[in-house]
Amino acid sequence: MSSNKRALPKGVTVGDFDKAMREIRAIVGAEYVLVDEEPLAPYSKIMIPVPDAQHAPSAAVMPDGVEQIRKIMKVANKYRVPVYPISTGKNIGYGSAAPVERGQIVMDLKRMNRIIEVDAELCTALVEPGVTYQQLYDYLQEHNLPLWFSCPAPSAIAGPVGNMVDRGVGYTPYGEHFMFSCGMEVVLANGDVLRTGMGAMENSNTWQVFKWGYGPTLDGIFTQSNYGIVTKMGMWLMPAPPDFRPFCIQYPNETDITKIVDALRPLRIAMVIPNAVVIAHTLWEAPCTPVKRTDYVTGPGAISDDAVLKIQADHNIGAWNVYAGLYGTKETNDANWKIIEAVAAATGGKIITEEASRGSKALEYRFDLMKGKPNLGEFGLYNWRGGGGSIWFAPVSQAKGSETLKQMKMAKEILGKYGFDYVGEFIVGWRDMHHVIDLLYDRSDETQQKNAYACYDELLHTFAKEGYGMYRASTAFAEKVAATYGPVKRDIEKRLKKALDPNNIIAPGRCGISL
Amino acid sequence: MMKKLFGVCTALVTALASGQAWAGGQTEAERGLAVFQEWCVSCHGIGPGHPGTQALDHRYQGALAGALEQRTDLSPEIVKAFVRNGISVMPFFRKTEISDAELDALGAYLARNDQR
Ligand SMILES: Cc1cc2nc3c(=O)[nH]c(=O)nc-3n(C[C@H](O)[C@H](O)[C@H](O)COP(=O)(O)OP(=O)(O)OC[C@H]3O[C@@H](n4cnc5c(N)ncnc54)[C@H](O)[C@@H]3O)c2cc1C
Repeated sequence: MSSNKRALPKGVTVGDFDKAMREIRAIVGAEYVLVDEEPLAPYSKIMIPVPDAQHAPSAAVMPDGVEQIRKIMKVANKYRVPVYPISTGKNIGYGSAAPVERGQIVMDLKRMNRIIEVDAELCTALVEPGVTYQQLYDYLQEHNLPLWFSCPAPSAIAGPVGNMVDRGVGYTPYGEHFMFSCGMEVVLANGDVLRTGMGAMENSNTWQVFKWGYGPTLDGIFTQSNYGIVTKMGMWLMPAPPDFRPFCIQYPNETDITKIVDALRPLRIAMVIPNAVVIAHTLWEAPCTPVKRTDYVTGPGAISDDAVLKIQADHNIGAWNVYAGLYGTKETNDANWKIIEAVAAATGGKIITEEASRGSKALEYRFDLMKGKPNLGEFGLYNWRGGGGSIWFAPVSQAKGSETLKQMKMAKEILGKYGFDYVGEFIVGWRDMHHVIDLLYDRSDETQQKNAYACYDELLHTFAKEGYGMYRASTAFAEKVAATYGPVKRDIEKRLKKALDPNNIIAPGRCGISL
Repeated sequence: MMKKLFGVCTALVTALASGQAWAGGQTEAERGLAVFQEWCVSCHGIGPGHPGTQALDHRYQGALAGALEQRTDLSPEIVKAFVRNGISVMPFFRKTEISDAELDALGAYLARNDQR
């Protein structure tokens, strides 16, 4: 690749960059450093609606452990070259494995893939960044351990550390992943290695069981940030319940969302339903069923409400489809099942049990996710529009019916204006909901790409005006989303950055934090 | 891994056909099947519920098989290019996920029926 086309880090000369790479090669070995365009392709492919060049990496390095990372930090400080750590690198729709700013060096931690410990009595695990959910699942199966974890939808290829540090979510009772993590090991910009919580104490054996330690609890500052490189993470596993009863409740009307949320919230807060309930719209279910969009829409523009109704009728899909489960013994689940039946009857919903779901791919992958069984069923979403474009718009909402309907209508209207479909779902935390919308577009069509960017921008600002903030955002919108949270928070983030990483070498710009 | 073991058993037929046995008794294509089982099958497996297969079925409209394991026109080079670069909605896979040697094996496995 000619040097003028090279994506170099901001403010770094070719000479310094080359020197840094030479020193990094000496640390990790030449085969674990990539600088040419072709081998960097997997670190460059993005689905978000901005030009590839905006997030092109200058290099990728693949350390095999903490000692190599510490040495790389020294070199990065010396030459002021920024590194962008990734774990399993499958942050698809949020920026994939590409850096937040052009020219950053991707630090790919996939080689660090040890499951260091699983404690079957305490139901905890300690894992490295390269571990995938599939790997952990296979490990538990092989060792005959009746333990479950919670995973996100792309679980067969993604992993717990990367997901947790971006504060991702899953679908079991442990679905809020950061909440169920316990203890981190972090390499700081100066090469120090911090263990959070009880891990800070030498010889402590309570690192994976007690989160807080003594004094300020630091774990949170290493999520959705750039204050350190997480090299180990503790996570809690749940004992496989003797009886697991997943179900779906389908509702016929879009406006039903109000009564669904109001009826389910008390059950969720009281933990009758202990898991992260999902309320998925027709157009989330359809592609995973699978239904072909081209059978219902011709020409440009968003799908019509009539076509959505026709899909519901043709394929037995609800306007809203609620997914939840009972986790307990047969006796407790029998008792709680009566409550579920009563709620469904009172709200006009139709229950689909596990037995009745057989053969429906959209239901099967959800039921698997609710017990932490990895799959990629949800990639069906990408066949809806085709063309490889996707960016997640993910505002937080109160778990109140009126709020969800308001958010849904606002989003649908703005999406429609730009010719995009409302492909959304609500994931119920405890008292909150992550309203997750997949803004799907054809990335090979420049106009659609521009519209997708403008659409997200309008969504973001319209929602912010109403006081709705994002739970997470793609690298393309990191700065704009951070700005919606106001100046005081940002100032503190900057001061922390200055204290922990004065040369601004770890992922500057991630979540809008930079010097 | 259970999935891998399963893959290895089913691969025996392939192994016999390709005849490239290694010292350890595994052929290149057989090892490729294990890679396929680990990384590709959830999207590209045979039958419904596999989004990759579904996308290719849609694209080829019957002219070619949607399931990669049923294709008779794949070369190792094509397989490698798609794995590393991804295409359209398909994600990429880095060499820290599928090593160069594993990718060679995967190429051999998916090209085993290449009739050209
Ligand atoms: C169809 C589909 C469905 C999805 N469903 C879900 C879902 O249900 N729930 C969900 O949460 N997400 C979902 N996602 C989004 C995303 O794919 C997952 O969150 C995935 O787990 C993130 O990728 P990863 O685990 O490989 O993390 P990575 O890509 O490795 O990490 C994510 C980011 O965290 C930072 N980071 C990673 N590792 C470190 C480290 N060691 N130290 C410091 N910083 C680090 C980096 O900035 C990195 O870009 C979905 C995506 C798709 C395509």
